[in-house]
Amino acid sequence: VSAALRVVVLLARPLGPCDDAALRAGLALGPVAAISACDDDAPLRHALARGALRALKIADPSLEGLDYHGIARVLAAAARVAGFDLVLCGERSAGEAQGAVGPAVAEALNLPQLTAALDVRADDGALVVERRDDGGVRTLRVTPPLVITVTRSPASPALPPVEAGVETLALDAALGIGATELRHRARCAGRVAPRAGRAEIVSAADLARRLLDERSRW
Amino acid sequence: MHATHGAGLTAAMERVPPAMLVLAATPGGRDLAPRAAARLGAAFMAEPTLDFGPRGALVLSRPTHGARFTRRLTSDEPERPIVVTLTPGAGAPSSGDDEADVLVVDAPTGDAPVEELARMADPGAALETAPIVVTAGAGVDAATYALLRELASALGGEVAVTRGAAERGLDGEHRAVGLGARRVAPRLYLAVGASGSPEHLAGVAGGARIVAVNRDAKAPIFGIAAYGVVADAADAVPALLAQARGGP
Repeated sequence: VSAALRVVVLLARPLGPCDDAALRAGLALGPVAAISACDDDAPLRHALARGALRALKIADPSLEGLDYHGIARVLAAAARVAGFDLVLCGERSAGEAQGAVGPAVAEALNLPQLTAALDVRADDGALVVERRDDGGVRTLRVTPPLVITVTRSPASPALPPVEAGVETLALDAALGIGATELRHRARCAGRVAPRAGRAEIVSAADLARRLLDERSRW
Repeated sequence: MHATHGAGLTAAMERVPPAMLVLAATPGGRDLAPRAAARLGAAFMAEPTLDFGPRGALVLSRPTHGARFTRRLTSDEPERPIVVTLTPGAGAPSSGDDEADVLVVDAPTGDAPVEELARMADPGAALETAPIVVTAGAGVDAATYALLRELASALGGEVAVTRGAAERGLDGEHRAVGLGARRVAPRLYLAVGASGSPEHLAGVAGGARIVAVNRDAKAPIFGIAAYGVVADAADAVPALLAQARGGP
């Protein structure tokens, strides 16, 4: 029997379905260290309650407004501190939902990546990953270390909750990342504004007519 | 995709440092693009809609936080390159009169640590390119879902379900749209009996025109939709289908 994989699971806030799938996949594979780069402990407490052995957060005011690249650099540095064979994260967060953090973490760690996994299973020191790809669903065999982003995950072991506290990693002291440089190079691009609107309410017959009319204009 | 094409793309980017890199929003493109963006230290936008601002600059925008917000980025704004993925077929084809320079770049082939064990057909693959997607939410029963299938077919589109509806057994996971499921990018997206949760709408690309049927006039979907019907799905869908078939 091969040794269990040391798994790092990266969690976003708010914890979305993909984050939770990554956590469930990780818990089925080996001891999990959950890592989050946000001030809110809720995702990490959730991970401990589900059976993660460690929970580490990087909390620093300079993380506010960072883009995928800045967050990924911070998470990758924390993953190195925790130690791992495998890094898992949700394919897309419940916030920006771009699917960018995982590949950027892989780049920061200089590791191979697989994105949008539907299932991750251990297989004699390797991993068997199912992913929806151009033109079909492929089953792949990969060898750690690597970064996998998870879309969904079927299995989850019922593990006892772990009564550990959330550990805090300081950005500069623990991770060796300078806040000024980080803010300068990885600020979120563009501006965010609430989307305001209200649907025009019509009858069912009108709605069908409009749909047909829109389609006929293509 | 990064495993096989990453080294080649990196070599090309070193030869011709891009101001903007565009890749298709396919599973392969979505795998490759953010990794390339991170390598460039670039700004990244997944599947934005494109427009031109008053001074001619390209404006990229996309919904965030389950379509509750919009992020806008103007092409003359960032001091770094921009990497985007664009939905295949979402824009009208264009043609130019200049001949493109084609550079052939020598690149190492990726030493992919990936072995393919099996490949199966994806029964929901048509959803990825469907121009119309009709999605059933929690407010749709099995009988009404059968009618929605016919409606989607009559409109030339595909039928889908929310993750919640899939978990209740209305259809398989391969037809589910949302976070933790499939992402679709149709021109028209008809959401029936779906409240419009952020998890659901995060699966719909920003360019889609959203139309809703829901019995709750206060459902969040009506804050996002262009137009809609306030009615129970079981009452509205037969009328929609009759009209779509050319009936009374």
